[in-house]
Amino acid sequence: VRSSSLRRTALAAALAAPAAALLLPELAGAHGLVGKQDLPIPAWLFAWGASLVLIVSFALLSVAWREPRLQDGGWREIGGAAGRALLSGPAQLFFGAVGVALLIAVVYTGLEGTPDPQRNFSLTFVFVTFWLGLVLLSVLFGDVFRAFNPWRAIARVVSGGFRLVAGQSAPAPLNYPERLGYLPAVVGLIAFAWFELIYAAGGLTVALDPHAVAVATLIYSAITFVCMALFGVDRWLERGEAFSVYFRMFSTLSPLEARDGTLGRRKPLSGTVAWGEVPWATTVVLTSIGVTSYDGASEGALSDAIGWVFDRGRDLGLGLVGAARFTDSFWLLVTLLAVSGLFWLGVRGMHTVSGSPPVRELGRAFAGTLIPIALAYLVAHYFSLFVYFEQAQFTYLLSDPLGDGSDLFGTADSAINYGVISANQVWYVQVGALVAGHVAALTLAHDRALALYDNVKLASRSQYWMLAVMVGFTCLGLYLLSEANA
Amino acid sequence: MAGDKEDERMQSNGARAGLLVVLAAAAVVLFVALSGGDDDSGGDETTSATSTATTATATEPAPPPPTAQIAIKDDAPVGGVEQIEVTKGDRVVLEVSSDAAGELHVHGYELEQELTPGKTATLRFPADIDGKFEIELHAASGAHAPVAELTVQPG
Repeated sequence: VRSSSLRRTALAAALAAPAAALLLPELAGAHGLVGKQDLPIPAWLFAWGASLVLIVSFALLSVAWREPRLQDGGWREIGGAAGRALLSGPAQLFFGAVGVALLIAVVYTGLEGTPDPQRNFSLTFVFVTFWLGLVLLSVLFGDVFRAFNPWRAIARVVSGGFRLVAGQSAPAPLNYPERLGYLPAVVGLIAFAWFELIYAAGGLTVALDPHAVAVATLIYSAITFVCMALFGVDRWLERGEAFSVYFRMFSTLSPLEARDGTLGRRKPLSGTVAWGEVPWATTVVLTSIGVTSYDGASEGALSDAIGWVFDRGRDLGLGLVGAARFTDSFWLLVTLLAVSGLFWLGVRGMHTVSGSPPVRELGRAFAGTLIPIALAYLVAHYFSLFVYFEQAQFTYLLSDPLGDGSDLFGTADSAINYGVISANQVWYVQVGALVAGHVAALTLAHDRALALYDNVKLASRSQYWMLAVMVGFTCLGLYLLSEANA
Repeated sequence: MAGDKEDERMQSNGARAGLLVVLAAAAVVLFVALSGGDDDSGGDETTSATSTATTATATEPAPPPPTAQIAIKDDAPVGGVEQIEVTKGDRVVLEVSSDAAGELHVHGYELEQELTPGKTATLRFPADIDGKFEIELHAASGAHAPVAELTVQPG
């Protein structure tokens, strides 16, 4: 989510003014979600942030430990009876019911509610509370989406019913091909991002349309049910269902993890070690970083380039919306490839160190080390938006979910207070998140290298490459912040 | 073999110390380079982006002139979307004229101002939230068009 209205301004300015004035009325029905954009981080903070990144990087190298410490998470049970109760059947049924109710609420408000994106429950819920909020919850409390996943809940009730009637479980008709790994989830995540940032925001139109969100939710639900029926519920949720995979990826950062119905705790960050074991795991992380980078870059760093491709699209005879979508899709693809390219370049460099496994395996071995950077990008880019829109979510969108003037809880008249965080506070959170993510990623990569290479010397040598990659990502993040809305 | 290991450790300690020195140097160079750049380009940016009227409000205490004057014709701002830049705590005064009826909406501040053809409407408010905000025309024809962007720098 972002305010496309400013982008629209940029694009509209690229057009001849009279043409824009003629065309805007039919295109611009609604305006973007965001009433306020963050200011770009000032140059002095950029400089301090980048310097700090270099200092902590080398400081980490100099104090580096010589035996791997995070490869074994040391999981042990906590919470006792309370933990078991949380993970018990009835509790799971309750969480699942909450998930199903929210899914129904999204579809119903999207179809029946106001087309005004700011007044309809569905938009803020899907793009802010769900898409961003569950990342936060996953990092804090582990894989909570598994419990709330509405598709899983429905499928479990259905297959439970089947077992009751038939006396046996229905076997999955197809074997999920192991080679596919997380590939369907990657496709799903890119599709979601494309829908959010490109289709729905559509350049000039800003048509974040609740109706489209409801329809997309129904389509995705149908796909998920079909695939769960084909490959088995658990198999599909483990590998193919985009949101399960995405939120689980962030839950690897959490110190909490449930195993076989028991709640336990592990060393912070240690959950990321196993992330790369599934094919395409690397691409899931890189997709997350790439999508956030694209969203940030389109607000500043790439805006001239976007305008240029937009003009070429217009030259080719594309309509306004067509040219805007073509342009945005093109740059999303370029950003995803560039982010992946940076990582794989580092992996190739690392591969020159003797005793390295093959390139693809090596990349996957370090896939988990990028998860803190993916999180840092999300915090840096969406923190302020999340703070603003959760105010709406829990006040007027709750009291008046359809935007039809109802007032269920007496909070329908409240408004977002954009003054609740100052520009300075936003900047410090943004830069702080990037630096913290950088430190966590370097820590993980160093630890991983110690486990992977024969001796400390080789491990350290391999890490000069990863250090370059991480510094690259963090400085890219700072650069995007310094250019956004400038 | 044991000697090799010892050697390795010494070497890597030496390398680390070297790295630290390189790092410190790099950090200093980077910092000086970037903050130097700040003075040059940053200064230029502010002067070019700040409208002259803004500077006037900041320095002259006497009757505050309008921060910006916006004329709207055919549902679009004359002269394009204006960049208005103020500092948090400033008073923003917008004088808006339009050839058609409509409403002006300041996003974020959630202010609305009726526009009547042939009359100049004045919108006054304190810039008490920092950030970047769109000022949009909601024309009677149903069109929504950006007319200005308000940037409020932290004080």
